[in-house]
Amino acid sequence: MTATAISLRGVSKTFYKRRSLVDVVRRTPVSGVTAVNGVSFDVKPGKTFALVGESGSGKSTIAQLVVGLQQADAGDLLIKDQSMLSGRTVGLDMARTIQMVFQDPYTSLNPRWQVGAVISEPCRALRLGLSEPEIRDRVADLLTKVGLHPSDAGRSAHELSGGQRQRIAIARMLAAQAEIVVCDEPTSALDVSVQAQILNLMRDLQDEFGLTYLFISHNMSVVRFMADDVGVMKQGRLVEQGPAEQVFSAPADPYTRALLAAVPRPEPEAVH
Amino acid sequence: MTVVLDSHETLYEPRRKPVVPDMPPKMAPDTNQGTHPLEPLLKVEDLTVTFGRGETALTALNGIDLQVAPGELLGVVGESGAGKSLLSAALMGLLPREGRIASGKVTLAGDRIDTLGDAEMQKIRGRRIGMIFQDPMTSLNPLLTIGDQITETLVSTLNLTSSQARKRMLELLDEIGITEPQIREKSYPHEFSGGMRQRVVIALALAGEPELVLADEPTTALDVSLQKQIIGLIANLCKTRSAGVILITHDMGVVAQNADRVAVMYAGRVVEVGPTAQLMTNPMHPYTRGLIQSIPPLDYRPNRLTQIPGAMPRLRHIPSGCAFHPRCPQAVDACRQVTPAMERRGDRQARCLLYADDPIKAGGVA
Ligand SMILES: Nc1ncnc2c1ncn2[C@@H]1O[C@H](COP(=O)(O)OP(=O)(O)O)[C@@H](O)[C@H]1O
Ligand SMILES: Nc1ncnc2c1ncn2[C@@H]1O[C@H](COP(=O)(O)OP(=O)(O)O)[C@@H](O)[C@H]1O
Ligand code: SF4
Ligand SMILES: [Mg+2]
Ligand SMILES: [Mg+2]
Repeated sequence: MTATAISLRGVSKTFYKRRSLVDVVRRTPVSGVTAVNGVSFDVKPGKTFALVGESGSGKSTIAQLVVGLQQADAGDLLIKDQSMLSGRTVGLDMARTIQMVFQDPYTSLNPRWQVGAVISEPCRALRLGLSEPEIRDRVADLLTKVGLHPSDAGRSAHELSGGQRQRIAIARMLAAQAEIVVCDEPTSALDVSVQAQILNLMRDLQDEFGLTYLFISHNMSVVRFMADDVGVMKQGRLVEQGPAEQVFSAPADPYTRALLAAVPRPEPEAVH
Repeated sequence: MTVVLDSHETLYEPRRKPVVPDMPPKMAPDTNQGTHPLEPLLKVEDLTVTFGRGETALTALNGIDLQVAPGELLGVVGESGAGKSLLSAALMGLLPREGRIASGKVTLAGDRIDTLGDAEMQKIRGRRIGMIFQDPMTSLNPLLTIGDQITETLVSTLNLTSSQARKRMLELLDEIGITEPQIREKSYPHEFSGGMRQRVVIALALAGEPELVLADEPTTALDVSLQKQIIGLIANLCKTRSAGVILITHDMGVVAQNADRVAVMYAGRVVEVGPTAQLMTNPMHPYTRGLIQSIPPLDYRPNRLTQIPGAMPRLRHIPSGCAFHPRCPQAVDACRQVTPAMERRGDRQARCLLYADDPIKAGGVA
């Protein structure tokens, strides 16, 4: 086992506004948003590292850097102790190792595809030499594993509820034999009841397969349930990080305390 | 019976002994609706909304009874598909074309409003009922400055002269927490952040001095800290004006912190109503308890969250008897056949057979 599943060392990413010809002629200064600013953290194998923070704090940009959808401007990113920024092309094996689960899998699942096709695609891409009946069995197994029914393989993605779609995205990630899963607000679009089902499922699967999660959420309660370690983001920077137990019980940064104080809890406040 | 489930996991969790919270003794039905300290402002009686007609008609809202007193904030919660938005649409006379009020009665300060035509309802909206939706851009005109929009609304709803309206507009901007109103009134909606836009929508909703404000998920798109400010603003402004508020949200936390009373909806019915603190700490209905227990705790990390199995049924597949029975950890055989009636305990009510003296007589088959 590698020392870290994911490691960021001083990673930065700035998005620049596209400059028009007029801007160039007039020499208007280049303006940019530094979405991620010198961020460093380690994700331990088989554990969950959660990034929490308000919208615009840079969480999704970090997710995209980790899965290779964006390139960092500075710093180093290591996946299973191998640098991803040294210019080498990422092998098929590494691409499979990391999978992503989004807030709305509807946009990432082709709505016309059948569920069976969505899940079997990564099985085929792995070239395990499985026969068609073996692939079908595998899809049925995976559907059962994520709390669906083997007969759901015949339904198309647009017939499914938000919770069911999230289960399909999880089954697909298992089909790819992912080791590291980057989850960007995976339950933010769901009802609390369905959220509880999905979070329980994700923790069960982590225990069973030893998955590593980089778990992104703006919801402090959700992060409390999922995280072994947590990093608090504010305007592109990590203002605090550490074991979740410690960050939640004794938050060191005033911003973390403010986030915790703002959480609307179902227990009515003692003093009104 | 068909139930559409989110997953095919166990329909019935192992039977536990019914958990019936300690309740005050059952009281004789009150003739003067004694649950209310004040005469209700809004009274919804046995409201039923259907889609389509005849054999294939679907009942989307089923026998809704609700009351809101002046200055009271009623929270309405429930999973998506419960009928929350449809309830607010029915109250505003904005049901989708295929939908209609099949029975029931809605009165606002004694005036019946469910039977009014489109033109009359149009006058009620804005003047007597203010509306706040999730996406502020649906309520704002992108081509008008926010000052002009509010002034225009004031002129049309309160018949003010334009100079009176302008003065009032600046006061309103100040009240909703916009600093330097004389400068900011000249801004267009797109120049404001999401939170500021929602404040402007609140000013627009309150401009006509409505008696009732309907807010449907007004802060779902906002960060938690902003959410707290915006809901607090709605609650305070309405309280000082003695306007009633119906706050629709899927967030039990938001309701716990702001509502005077809470109504919980499931499959088109109100299944529990009661004062907020009691309902949150000691829910009567198993569905309410399930929703509260689904929220991950903040002070410790449990191994598992208590989950409600399955999912909200589609309209076409609402289970017989108590619609919640396929997901209910306390269901008994009668729950499959008998539709629970609203059972009253003091100022609380729940539709659940656990509270019926005689489950068979309690409801009858609806
Ligand atoms: N592709 C992009 N182009 C330009 N700006 C971007 C892009 N992606 C993100 N940003 C900006 O970077 C900042 C951080 O965004 P994001 O990572 O999405 O935050 P979060 O996920 O925490 O809400 C925001 O100001 C956002 O507008
Ligand atoms: N125009 C329509 N035609 C048919 N069914 C509808 C229509 N609008 C809403 N519904 C159904 O009514 C039910 C309640 O919907 P809604 O009030 O939007 O729920 P909520 O706001 O609680 O999420 C849902 O089952 C929904 O599918
Ligand atoms: S009536 Fe409904 S909520 Fe009450 S115990 Fe039976 S199934 Fe559960
Ligand atoms: Mg994001
Ligand atoms: Mg709704």
